[in-house]
Amino acid sequence: MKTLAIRLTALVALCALALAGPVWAQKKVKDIAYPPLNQMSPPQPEKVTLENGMTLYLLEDHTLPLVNFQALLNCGAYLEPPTKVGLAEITGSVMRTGGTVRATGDQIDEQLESIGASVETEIGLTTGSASANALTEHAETILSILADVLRNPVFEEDKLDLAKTEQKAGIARRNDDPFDVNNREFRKLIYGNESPYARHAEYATIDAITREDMVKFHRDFVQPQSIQLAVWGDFSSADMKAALQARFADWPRGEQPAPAPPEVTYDFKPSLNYAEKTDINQSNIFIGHIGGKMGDPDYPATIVMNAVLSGFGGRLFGEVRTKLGLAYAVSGSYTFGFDQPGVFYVFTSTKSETTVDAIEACKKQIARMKTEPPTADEMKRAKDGWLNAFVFNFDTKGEVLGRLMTYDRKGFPADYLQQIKAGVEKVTPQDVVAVAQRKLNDGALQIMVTGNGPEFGKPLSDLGEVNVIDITIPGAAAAAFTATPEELARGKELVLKSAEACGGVAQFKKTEAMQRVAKVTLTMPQGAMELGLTSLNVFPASSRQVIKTPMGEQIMVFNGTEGWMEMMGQTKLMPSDEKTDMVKDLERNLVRLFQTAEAPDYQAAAKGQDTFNGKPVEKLMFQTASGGQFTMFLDAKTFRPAGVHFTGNTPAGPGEITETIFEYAAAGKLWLPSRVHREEAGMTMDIVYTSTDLKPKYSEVEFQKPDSL
Amino acid sequence: MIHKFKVGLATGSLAAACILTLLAAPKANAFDITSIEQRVTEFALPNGLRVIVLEDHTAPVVSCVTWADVGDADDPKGATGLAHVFEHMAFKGTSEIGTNNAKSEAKALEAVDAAFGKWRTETLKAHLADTALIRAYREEMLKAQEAAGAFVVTNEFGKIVEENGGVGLNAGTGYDQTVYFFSLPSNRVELWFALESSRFHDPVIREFYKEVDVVKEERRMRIESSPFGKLMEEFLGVAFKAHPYGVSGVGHMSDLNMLTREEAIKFFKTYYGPSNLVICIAGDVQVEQIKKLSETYFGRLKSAPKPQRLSTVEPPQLGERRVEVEDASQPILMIGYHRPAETHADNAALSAMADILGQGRTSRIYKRLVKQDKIAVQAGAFPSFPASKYPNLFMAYAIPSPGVTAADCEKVILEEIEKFKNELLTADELSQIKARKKAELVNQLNSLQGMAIQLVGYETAYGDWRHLFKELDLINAVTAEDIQRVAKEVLTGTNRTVGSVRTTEAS
Repeated sequence: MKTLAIRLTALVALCALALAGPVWAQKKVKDIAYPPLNQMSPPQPEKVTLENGMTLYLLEDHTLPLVNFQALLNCGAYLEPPTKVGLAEITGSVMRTGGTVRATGDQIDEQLESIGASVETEIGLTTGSASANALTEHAETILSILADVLRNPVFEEDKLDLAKTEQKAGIARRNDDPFDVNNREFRKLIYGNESPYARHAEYATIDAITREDMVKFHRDFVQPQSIQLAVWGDFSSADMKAALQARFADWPRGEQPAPAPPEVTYDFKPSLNYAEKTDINQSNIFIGHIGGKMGDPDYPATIVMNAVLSGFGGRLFGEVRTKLGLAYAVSGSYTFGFDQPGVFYVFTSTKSETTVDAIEACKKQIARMKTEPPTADEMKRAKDGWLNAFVFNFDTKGEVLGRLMTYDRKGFPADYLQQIKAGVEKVTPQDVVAVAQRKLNDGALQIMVTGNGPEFGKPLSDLGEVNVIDITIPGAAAAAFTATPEELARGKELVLKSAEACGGVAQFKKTEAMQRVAKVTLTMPQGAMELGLTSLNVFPASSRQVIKTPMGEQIMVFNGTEGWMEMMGQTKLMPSDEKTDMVKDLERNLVRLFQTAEAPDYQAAAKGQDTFNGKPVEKLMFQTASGGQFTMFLDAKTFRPAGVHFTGNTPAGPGEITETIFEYAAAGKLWLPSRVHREEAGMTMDIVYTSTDLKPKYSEVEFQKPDSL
Repeated sequence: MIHKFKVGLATGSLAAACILTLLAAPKANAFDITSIEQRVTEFALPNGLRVIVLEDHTAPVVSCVTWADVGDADDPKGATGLAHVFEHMAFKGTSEIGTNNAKSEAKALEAVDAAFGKWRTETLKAHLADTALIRAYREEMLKAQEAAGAFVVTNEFGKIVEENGGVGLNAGTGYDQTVYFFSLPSNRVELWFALESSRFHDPVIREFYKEVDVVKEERRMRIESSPFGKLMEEFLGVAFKAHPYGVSGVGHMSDLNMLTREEAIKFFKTYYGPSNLVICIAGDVQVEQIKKLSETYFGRLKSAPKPQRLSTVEPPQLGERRVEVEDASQPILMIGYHRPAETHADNAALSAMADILGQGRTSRIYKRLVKQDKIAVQAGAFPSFPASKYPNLFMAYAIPSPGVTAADCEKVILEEIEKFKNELLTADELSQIKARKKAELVNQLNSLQGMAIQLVGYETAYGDWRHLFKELDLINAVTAEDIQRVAKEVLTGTNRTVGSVRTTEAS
């Protein structure tokens, strides 16, 4: 009896415990059971095709009072001529910044920023985009601006100038970051130096771009039948459709379809390439070869392969970063492109000392993908992970619409991604190894390293023959100015000596203005031309030049801050790169240099003795207030300047220019160059000065910017 | 309407008039921010952990964020980089995740620490150190590390997240905060609770010394091989003489070399108690479900005293400070002015100041330097750097055009700043600031993860996430006089630090 009672009591106690309420215990991760995922069908946009071929995609979303537009433009940099690399990108940006028929670029900026809205455009390698975003109440405004920018851009010269300056700044800075260098050079290895998928702008190609080029690019390639426009947000479809029709239906269809992006021919062969950057202590490494095109039946298996290779729990991360501690950043992927083939790459960066080690560690993982099938755990992560994350492909409307537009543009079915998902579901570990064997050519890996070679622990040549890549920017500014105090002291002394030899600082100081007349013989490959030059300098920084050519008179004025040119009745503002050149020109003027020699705003460093034009000279390197640099050679006997050497704008783009002074003649109490020979790429000039007026008459009005500008 | 529109097409002006009416009418009920607020719930656990839930059933996903109120500014002296290193450690797992034998591993890790400790002590003897001993201890340490490595299941934490469809697994350490986040399909939200709570309940600091090597690579990448990185580190060091905002966040190489696992554990115990954490779950979830999960999984975190704010206050500058970095790269210019923390009453005025002075193509600095004078390809201003919990810096910057120096740009920026100080903003300009702020806020509401991070940030800074929605009111209340007063107080020469990169030949 007693035992039964005890048992009963125990039972009652147990039941009491069980009924006390849900006992929520933390579960071990592997024991957590998940309810099924809430099914939400992906948003279905409404599609409308206008008569002119433009396709519209509309998707209502009233969660927030926002309206978004995103246009996909079917054109790209591959359409620009190789002599004008950068044209497409500049056209893409100046389309927006350069104003339209209705409003200037600045007016559009003011209009948009006053309401916290944005309209932006850009053109990339094979596609471009135009996007707009605003609160609901401003939907009409941004649609109007967006349509205007797409249809009627005017490409203001001023904004073209600005875009060119931005491009040139980008060129000047393109070697500052080792990742940029390495990525750029790697792409050239894969696609070819001249390929539209790898080439990049240079100063010369940017300089060659004109406003007419942009107008033509826009006219030829930004056409309604090659544009898809998605709109999503807080609007009514009926109203929005009507508004879009009103804005775009009467845009005439273009005449010629744009050529398709060119194919890539790739030669599988290994290579080892190195670009030196000595101001870093970490190497940037890319290893790989060409990738594939979207539509490849291997895509699903490759997705799983990529996930095994990359990601937080992938083989590269696990080995190169976690086990070996060689890198913070390491990843790899075989990618498929829609227009041009993608790339297979493994990327990492490691301290200089371990460069070769890191490369070997990466190569090992590439080889391992081809021989070691993924373990059950790896498959779980790679395959299940991708499938479990599938829902994230549909979590924002913009993403869904963007993908749909791309599929439509390239002829893929709207449910392509779902088809891929079905493919991934079937992938086995053997499939992963098989696709790695098909796709990863580890006997033909191209390796690109940007780093500080002298600090590598093992030399790169341990890995094979090294191809050194020169990343010097063509036409870049001269090396930075450096000078010791002794050089500067001697430099100042020499300048004063030279001033003395040409008439004395006091005389130069008295020279407030000067007008010189010269005969110029200009010789170019096409032939020779005689010009008349009247040059008025008002020191320190203004000049007015009248050039008489067989075609007429050209007048160039610079008043210290602004410049303009008149030719054949037309007046235009001096573009900024010409202004920079003009400032440097005036800073090099001998009269100006000598008149300020006692308290100069420039630095002159004596760099020893040299030979110039067959004669012994003292070499001086100058850095001017604007940062311009030039070299001057003083005759070792007379101390008068025998020549000047500097970088400036030549017919072939930025280049080296040398002026040789053959003769001096008296002008009042001064001795000034009377016969000068100037040489630069594509042109030589022989200048003979016939008269010099040290008290020229001129009017201030001549230096005032015309009202029309 | 439709009928008129068809007729109107023939004559452009009529069509235009019709178009205007097609889209213009704003909704009868203008957007009400309280509708978003209604989807936010907040509660606290007895151990001090605060939880915010933002329900959003648009897609079956959930974004989860943990905000720890600790950052680089809390690094102990001599141990710069520790907060960030700990963030890396938080991905290494627990006694259950990331190891095949927790007990043996614990012993092995102690052996690594012991060897490292000996190496460290001997190395710090500097010129009096025994180099043979240093080598021997290093060998011992590497062997011990290898032995401990046998008990590691590499990156198990990250692998679990990824195999369950987790995306965006990452974390970030700033001066003020350390934020951990990832998103999951919403039916797996329990996984987030299991993983996240476990790593702050029972983290195992494994593979410590190797991970410090990884952090050193990160330093080389972000700072030592980057002209911007170099400038920012130098600049902050000069701008701040007392407050840790001036100390390297990723850490000095010499400090990183000497960090110990013991310090990391101590750091964790001090700064990762539940009262110092705020979590946000945003997405396709239910509040009751999250309450239960929070109690179940985070309930086990032991209470700890909330760490105090830093006591050091940066004293006023006595004169302008300057630093020039010589580098082979192109010039860069940064100018900073000391300003109060974000919680100060003048915060909205300072944001407004940054807006007009330097955000957007119509801002003063951009217009003058880029459009007008054409001496920069990028130029502007922003209100807070490098962080905002404590007094920090109001910034202006420029990327000079080719051939232009940082000094050229500095001169013009200072001119624009003087002009700004001496003229009151117009009513038009003020209303534009407000329009932009409103658009910015509405756009922020469009991202689940973005919203989650904002909510936990405001909860931490103000003790109230609702403050996010008060920002608009604060901006609306700013007057032109406020802005001018603040400009005159802050934008002075004495209060200024100028940092630049000057191009020199690569050595």
